[in-house]
Amino acid sequence: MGSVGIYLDFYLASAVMQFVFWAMLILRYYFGIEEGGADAGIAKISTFSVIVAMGLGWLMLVALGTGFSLWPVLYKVTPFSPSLPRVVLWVNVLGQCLIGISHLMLIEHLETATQVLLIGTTMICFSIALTATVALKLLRMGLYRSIDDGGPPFITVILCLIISVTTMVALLTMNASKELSFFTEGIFILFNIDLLWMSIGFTCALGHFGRRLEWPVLGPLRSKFGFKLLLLAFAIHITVMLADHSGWNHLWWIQLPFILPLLTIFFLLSPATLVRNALSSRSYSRPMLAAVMWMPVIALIAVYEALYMNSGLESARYLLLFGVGIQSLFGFAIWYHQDHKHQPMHDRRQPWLFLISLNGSLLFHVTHFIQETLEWTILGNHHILDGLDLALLLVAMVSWLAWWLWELLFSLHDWHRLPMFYTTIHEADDPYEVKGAD
Amino acid sequence: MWDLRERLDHRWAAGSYLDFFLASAMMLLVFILGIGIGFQYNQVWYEENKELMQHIAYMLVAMGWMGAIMMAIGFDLLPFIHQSESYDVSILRMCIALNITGQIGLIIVTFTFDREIILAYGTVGVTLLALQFIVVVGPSWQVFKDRIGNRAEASGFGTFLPLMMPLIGVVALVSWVTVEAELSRELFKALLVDFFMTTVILAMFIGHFNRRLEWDIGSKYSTQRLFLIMMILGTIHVIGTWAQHTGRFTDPRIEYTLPLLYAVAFLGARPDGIWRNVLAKRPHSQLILAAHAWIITAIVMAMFEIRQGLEPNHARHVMLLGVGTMALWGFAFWMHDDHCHLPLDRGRSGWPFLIGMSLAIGFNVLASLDIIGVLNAPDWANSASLLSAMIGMGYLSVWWLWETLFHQGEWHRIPMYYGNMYEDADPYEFADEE
Repeated sequence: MGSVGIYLDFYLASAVMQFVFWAMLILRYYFGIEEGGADAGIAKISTFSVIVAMGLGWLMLVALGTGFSLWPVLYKVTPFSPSLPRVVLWVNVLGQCLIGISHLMLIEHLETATQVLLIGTTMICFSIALTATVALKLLRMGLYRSIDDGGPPFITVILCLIISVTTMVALLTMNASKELSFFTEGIFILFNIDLLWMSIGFTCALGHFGRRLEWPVLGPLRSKFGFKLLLLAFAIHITVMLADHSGWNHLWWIQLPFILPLLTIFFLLSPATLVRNALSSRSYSRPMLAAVMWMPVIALIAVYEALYMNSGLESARYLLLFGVGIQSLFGFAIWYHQDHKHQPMHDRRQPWLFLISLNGSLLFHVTHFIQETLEWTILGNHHILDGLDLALLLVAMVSWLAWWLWELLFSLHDWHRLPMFYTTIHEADDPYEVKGAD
Repeated sequence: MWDLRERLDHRWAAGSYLDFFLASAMMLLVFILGIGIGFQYNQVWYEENKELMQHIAYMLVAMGWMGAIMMAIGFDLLPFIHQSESYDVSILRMCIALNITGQIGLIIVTFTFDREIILAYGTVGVTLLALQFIVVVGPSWQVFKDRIGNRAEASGFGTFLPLMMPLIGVVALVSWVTVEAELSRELFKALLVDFFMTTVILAMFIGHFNRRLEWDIGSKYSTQRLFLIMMILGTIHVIGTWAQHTGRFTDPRIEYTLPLLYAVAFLGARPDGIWRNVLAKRPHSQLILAAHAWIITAIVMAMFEIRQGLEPNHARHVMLLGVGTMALWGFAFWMHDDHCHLPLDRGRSGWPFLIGMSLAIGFNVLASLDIIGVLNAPDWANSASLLSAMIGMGYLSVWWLWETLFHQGEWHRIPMYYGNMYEDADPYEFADEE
């Protein structure tokens, strides 16, 4: 269990790498990409860079850090050698730095910028593909059983490898023929946004409410058929989306299956149980609950976009990434860190600023969406509100950054290498007397 | 992997060299076939894009299959030599995976015969190859810190070379991004092929003759001084290349730093000491001895080419593909024999490889005589050189594939000599055999 504290390095790196990410966003405004003033090719490369630097970069570091810390505890084996997390971390960080550097050269030296972007993306994809080895090791050890003990190893392998490959393919075919680039862009969005962030949201929520808080989220029926149903929903979504991006089909419902896995996850998490337990004043992570509650809203917006708009479910995916993915991941990470600090559950600090500003930002986004699409006047035509969702998002991210910088630099005096609850997960006894503290 | 005190056992990776050698032999075969078929299929295109293909070939050779042998030796022997537990199985497997995928990626992309595509997609292969050198930065630093002070009289400068690898990785990436600039290609060539590979070759000579065979051709301090000289000369060579190509220093004599580097590598291995022992019929690797002897040719050719105002590419190819390949594979053969616990006088020499490569060097020299205007060389000299090298290398890769997959004899994870180099006891009783 030597690597249980490794998440601190990952979280610190994630917090620091946000600076690079924000610098990239500022550069987008500076180059006029956000206002649509830049060349379409440059805008495409820039958008790809931002998505990779965020989704597979500093956000993924939080997920990977948690994974590397939790796997040895959950499986009671060390499925990787000590150097693996370090290499994953540094190669990923190096890749993000290179993507940041490529952004600097985007206007003046496009060719060089593209090559540096490719180097950075290769590094990031390699770092993610490396984590598949952990899951492979678990599979070789015969640890197929997973849901109670953590993420399913087989799916982790597949997802890590697929994400690495699809990202590389999408970048390498960016300048290929229109049909090919449309297809690869489709599989990039499918795996890197839909499947990745739905899976992360689901794993985090199930891990938090089901395993950590021991709320009866998964009933016998749901655990028996639910995962098969989820796999089926994913399979339908994948098939239909591949068909859509292959140009085989132009049916009116072609984008609707996006909501199938999302709603399956929502119902698998038993929202009634979550609300009942939350209302009974039990301790839980607020961002995590908010993440689950965004799911039906995203499904509604996705239905409207799929039926009446030709936006490629832009708003639904934006909300999925920030509302479900980031919120659940950050909620899980903060709770896990508090486990390492052995804080009693009823006495845990909630990241209120992050929670309010992020959800405020998302609500403004939804309001804008309704105003623009349904032409309902909710906030009037005040131009000051135009950038408010982004400003609040910035506040949320800065608060996340500040939270971790404070925690990691000034608040580790009560930190323990072994987290409460997890070290006794396989034992009947409770040496930390966590239950007493609860 | 972990000892009883829960520390990494520094000997756990012994025997891991086989994976690297298998990868190297396999990729050597792919390289020969790939480049050979590609060249035959589209010779005109190769000629038109000679400088780019040469750059790719240097990367494939020095960072690809030669890089795999270097890492095999490093991972297998350095923990014994320096009593260091600097890395674990993840790094080792990662390097093999990066090495193979990087080479395959780069070779596949050359078959498009499209410069634009090669420049764009080749980046993936180059990044993977560079990463294999970059990820060893931690272990390299650890080995450097763990190096045995006075205990390892013959440790030489083996710990400095792994430290240079991450730098080479970064330089390879930068040079690829700016590959269209001649200066970038020249600097990469000066650093990787001229300086780094020559130093690696010298390390093979010292490691074999001085440490392994204990021929006492230099003390630890003299080898460290030798490394310092190589460092200074190499730095002058790289700076000189830069100065010449930017027009800051136009004296052509600066180019003689290349034969000077070769000469230091030749003399630094103490040919007098080597030949005294060879003539005394003490067992040694014929491949490494031949590699050492062929350096003279590289020196003479480099001087001729520079004098004629030509790029010393023939000399460079003799040094990298001839001397380098023979020295590294010679060391590899010997190391494998140590793992097979073969008595020294029964060590395998790889004669077909030695003859093939020596013929290749001979024909290469013959072809170059035409270029530098000494005599009219036959037209077939270049083809004969290529064919001899392909036969030699082909034999080698098939032999290694056979040996690693279907080896019949004795094999031990802990190699003889290295396993007990710091112990007075001699459990294998090799002292008697020698």
